[in-house]
Amino acid sequence: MTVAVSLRHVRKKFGTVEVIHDVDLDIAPGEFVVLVGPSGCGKSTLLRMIAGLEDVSVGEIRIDGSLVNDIDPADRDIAMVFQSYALYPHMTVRENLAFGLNARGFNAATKTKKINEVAAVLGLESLLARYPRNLSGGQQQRVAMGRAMVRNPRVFLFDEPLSNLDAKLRAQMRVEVKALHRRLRTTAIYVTHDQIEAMTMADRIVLMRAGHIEQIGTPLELYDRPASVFVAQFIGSPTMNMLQGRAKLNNAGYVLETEDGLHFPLRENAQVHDGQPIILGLRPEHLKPSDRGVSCIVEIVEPLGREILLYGRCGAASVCVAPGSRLAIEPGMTIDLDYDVANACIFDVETERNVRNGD
Amino acid sequence: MAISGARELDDLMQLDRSRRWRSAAFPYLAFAPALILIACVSFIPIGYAIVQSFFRSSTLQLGRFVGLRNYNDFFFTGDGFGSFENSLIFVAGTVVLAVPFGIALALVLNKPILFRGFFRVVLILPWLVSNLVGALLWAWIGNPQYGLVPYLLGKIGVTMPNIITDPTAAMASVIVASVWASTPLVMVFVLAALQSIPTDLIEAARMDGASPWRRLWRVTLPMIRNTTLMALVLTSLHAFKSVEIILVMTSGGPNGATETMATKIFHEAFTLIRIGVGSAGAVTIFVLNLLFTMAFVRVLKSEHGA
Repeated sequence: MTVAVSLRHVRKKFGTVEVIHDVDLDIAPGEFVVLVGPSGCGKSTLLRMIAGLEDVSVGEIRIDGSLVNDIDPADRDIAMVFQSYALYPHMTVRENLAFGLNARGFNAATKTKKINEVAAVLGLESLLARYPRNLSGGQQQRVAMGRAMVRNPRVFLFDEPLSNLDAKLRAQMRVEVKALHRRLRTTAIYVTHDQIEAMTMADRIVLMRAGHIEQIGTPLELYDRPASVFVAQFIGSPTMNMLQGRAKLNNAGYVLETEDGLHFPLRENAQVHDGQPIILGLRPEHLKPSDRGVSCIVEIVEPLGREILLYGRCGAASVCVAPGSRLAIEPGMTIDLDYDVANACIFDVETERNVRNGD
Repeated sequence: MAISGARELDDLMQLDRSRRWRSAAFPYLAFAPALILIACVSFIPIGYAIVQSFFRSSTLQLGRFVGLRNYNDFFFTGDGFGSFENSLIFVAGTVVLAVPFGIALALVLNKPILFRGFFRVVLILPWLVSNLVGALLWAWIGNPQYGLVPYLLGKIGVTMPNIITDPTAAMASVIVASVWASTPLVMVFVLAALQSIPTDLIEAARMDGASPWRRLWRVTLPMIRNTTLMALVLTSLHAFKSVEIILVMTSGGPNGATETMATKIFHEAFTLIRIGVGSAGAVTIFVLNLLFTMAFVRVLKSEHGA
């Protein structure tokens, strides 16, 4: 596989504190990779190291095969869109777009051509003479992307570029960024803490936690086969139900036995042993009200319009159920919940790793 | 019942009116003491000086009304225009050197250099020292007989012109002292402005491929433009009014070579006891400074309106 960006054993230390621990990552040309994780997980630091804005303490970063550890950001041929947009406030939109071209010595005709092309793609033609302070958040965002695009770089870096927009505009810009990438096919690395952005935009997601990569995979791989409890709970909304207990072998095969004696069936080939403390992970949409299964007392019903969400209790455990339609269920009712054991995830309590991924 | 209700409503409205009046009056009451103080030490003396500039007075009492004669005397008797010219040279010399020095020092001190805190304190000291003390220091350093600078220059075979007898050397020496005293103010202003520039902007410029020099000219300096302009105006105004440095170092000499409008005002008012003529000079400086400040405000406003 050809690799556009490659990270080998990358570590970052601030003084004596190591914030990035031995990260390995290969990104294919044209791929849209999203680094996602909670605040402080090191995703922005990693992006800034790729950009050249932070030094690499240990390890190698290569772009198109060339080692760039000691190469200045200007010479890496990459462009970055900042969370704050970082538009030059004393320059018009046209001057903002031209800044990178001027620094690289393009002639006037080429500059005008490139700026006009980018402005047409991003719908900025009527804004070229304006100053950033006279633009809306969404327009500023577009200019920031235009400034990155106009140089036609090898790699785009995005550092939480949609965080400052309101929810509606964010959803719209998400689609625009993705469409733009589909059109340009430039390698993109996108940092966000928003799992919905990660799920909807990424070709592959890199989920980080405390300076480590927790899992790399396509959005659906992370959703369906999370490597750990952390991944399972970070990806997906409402979050995955986690039921803790011990694996118990009975006549029908393995089940999860909770502390209050409820039995949840496990898949036939589950890699567990009798008495092993485990966590059973069930997505809300995988739990279905049925005429058989585990009994659940409904406490809250949330109508979302298209469907309802049920919050209730199976014994002592809280569960959320997304039946996928509007069922006539009221709080206080007792329902039975069933699920397809093939969809259930099983995690070891001690390691919090998915036992299927671990086997 | 209805009557009592109406009365209550009336009372309530009155209470509301008095509350509103109080909240509207509060800001004025709050700054009244400061306003009175400023009026006593600033507005009233300025007003009195303007009045005095039209009277022939040798004391603080008003003498005979003489119209514009005091202005005529200030500029056309002796070397009045020469003092204006000297003022311009002194101000221009101070600003042209102090502003770039201040910016350069601020740029250096904005970097994570070793002992940055120490250097910040040391470099701000000249601003904390009284101009009088600074002037004495520079007069001593440049003294032709026992000064450090002529001595050191002599060691390497350079004869420094005498700052007491050489007109150019005298002007240069007072400008150097003024630059020394003014640079810290510019430095502090610019340093504060530099620290308010978002790091994202500088990083964006790095990513855009701008060299350090280009980043300085195209991003950093435009971002601190207004603050620099303000520091420039304050330095100019201060230099235009500055008296102590010149009085202590050269007393306006040799032969009026360093006599600025400010020192001429001092000499007219307190040496020759021609208060009216001194006031005429003071009013002229006041008007010039006012025009300069208004022009500056206009520049700032036009920038914001762009």
